[in-house]
Amino acid sequence: MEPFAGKDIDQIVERNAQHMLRAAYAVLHSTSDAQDAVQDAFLILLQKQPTFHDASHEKAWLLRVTINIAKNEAKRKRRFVDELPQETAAPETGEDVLSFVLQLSEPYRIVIHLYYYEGYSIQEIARLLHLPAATVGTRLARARKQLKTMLEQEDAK
Amino acid sequence: MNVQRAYQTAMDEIAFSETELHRLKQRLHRASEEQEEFQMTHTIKKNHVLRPLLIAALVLLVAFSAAAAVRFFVPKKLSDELQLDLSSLQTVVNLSDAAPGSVTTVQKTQHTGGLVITFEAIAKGKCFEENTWQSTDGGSVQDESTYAIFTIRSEDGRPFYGNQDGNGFTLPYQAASFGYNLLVHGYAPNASALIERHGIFNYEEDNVLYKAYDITDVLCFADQNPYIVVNDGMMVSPDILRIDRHGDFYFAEGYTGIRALFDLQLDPSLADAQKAAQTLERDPMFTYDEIKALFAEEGQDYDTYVFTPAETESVQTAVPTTVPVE
Repeated sequence: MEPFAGKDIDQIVERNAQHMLRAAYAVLHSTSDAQDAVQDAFLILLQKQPTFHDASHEKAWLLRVTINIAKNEAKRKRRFVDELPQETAAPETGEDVLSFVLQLSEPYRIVIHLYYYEGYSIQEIARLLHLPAATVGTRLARARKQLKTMLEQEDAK
Repeated sequence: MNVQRAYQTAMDEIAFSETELHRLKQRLHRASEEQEEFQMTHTIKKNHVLRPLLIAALVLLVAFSAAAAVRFFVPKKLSDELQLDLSSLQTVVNLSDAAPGSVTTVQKTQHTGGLVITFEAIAKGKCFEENTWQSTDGGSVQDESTYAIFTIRSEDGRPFYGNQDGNGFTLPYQAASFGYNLLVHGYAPNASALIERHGIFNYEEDNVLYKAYDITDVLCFADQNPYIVVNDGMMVSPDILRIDRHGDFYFAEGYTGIRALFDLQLDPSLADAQKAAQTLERDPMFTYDEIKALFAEEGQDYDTYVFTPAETESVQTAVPTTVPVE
């Protein structure tokens, strides 16, 4: 059986690649690095060929693998530079919000992305990241508080 | 401003172009083909090349006694400490290159739920045999990280049948669905699990499951007795384990699942008060008085409360499961 050969891998890429790219971007701040992380995640998929119950299980697994790869890459880069590269290619709408989210620390960025963009619940994020729900809730609350402060300061300018 | 919508709109702009997606698919097709070729070659080698090599290796191997092999591969002190389980640990940890202090043997065994769980050793990632350990989620063993290594056997010698972890993710190696959680003496178990996990690695051979658990995050608490608990499910919660007023752990009344509690026995000199304070700042942990007060706010007594499955989720979450977006 070749579960990930030919058409199947194409369909898996179509279903998940953009979501994976955005999750990796939330960690790495760099589109090209995020693309590399996505490719590596798919290579792990080919190598391990896990069995998924359904499309949402497949997406959750791929997001988790992508986030892990991105975190490892971010850690590796931090050994050489103080800050990750900052891209400012966000569109006008939401530009501030995205740039503020990218200023949050890595654990907060990941939780914000999975909650705000992917629409996962706190319990789902906890399962996906192997974290207690209380931790996810705390991070989300703190991240929102920091975001609110940043937006208020921006409005006051 | 609707923060969620603004964030979604901005993030939507981060995307693979059609061309990039096409290239990605091509690369994956190539990788898939290469993998197939490799597997075919590997199979041929296995049948026609590897077997004679293995026979030759076996002939050489019988020339050494087991004791001589132990002395050859492992520093003497370590071999004395490891004794009978040396061969199994040697399989997964490269003891021959182990620098002083990079591997500490423990070998404490507990029996629970038909399993024999042995806390074998603590080892630095750089001592691990490459390509032996498999991560469940794409992480990799980090050279400078510190891992607690366990072996798990079923008492009747059966292999592990479950192939899903507690979160429904497929494991590369079959494993029973129980979790490992780090604890620090004096802090409530549910909150102790707030320490972020950096990876669990698996390896199964001859019906023995090896697990390596990243404990780097608790090294800073080395002078406060960090523990590791093995329990049903991926997370430890107050319906499984609690602390008493002295900060000691005890399994909750009514919990009948897998239970094994190991003192990590870390060298107190590894403690780092500043880092411990930062960890507590990032992920607060609750003392007995604090967790008791938190439960009291919910109208519950921490010491006597008996959880039901439906209540467990809401109490563990401790914050609303939906966060309104301004």
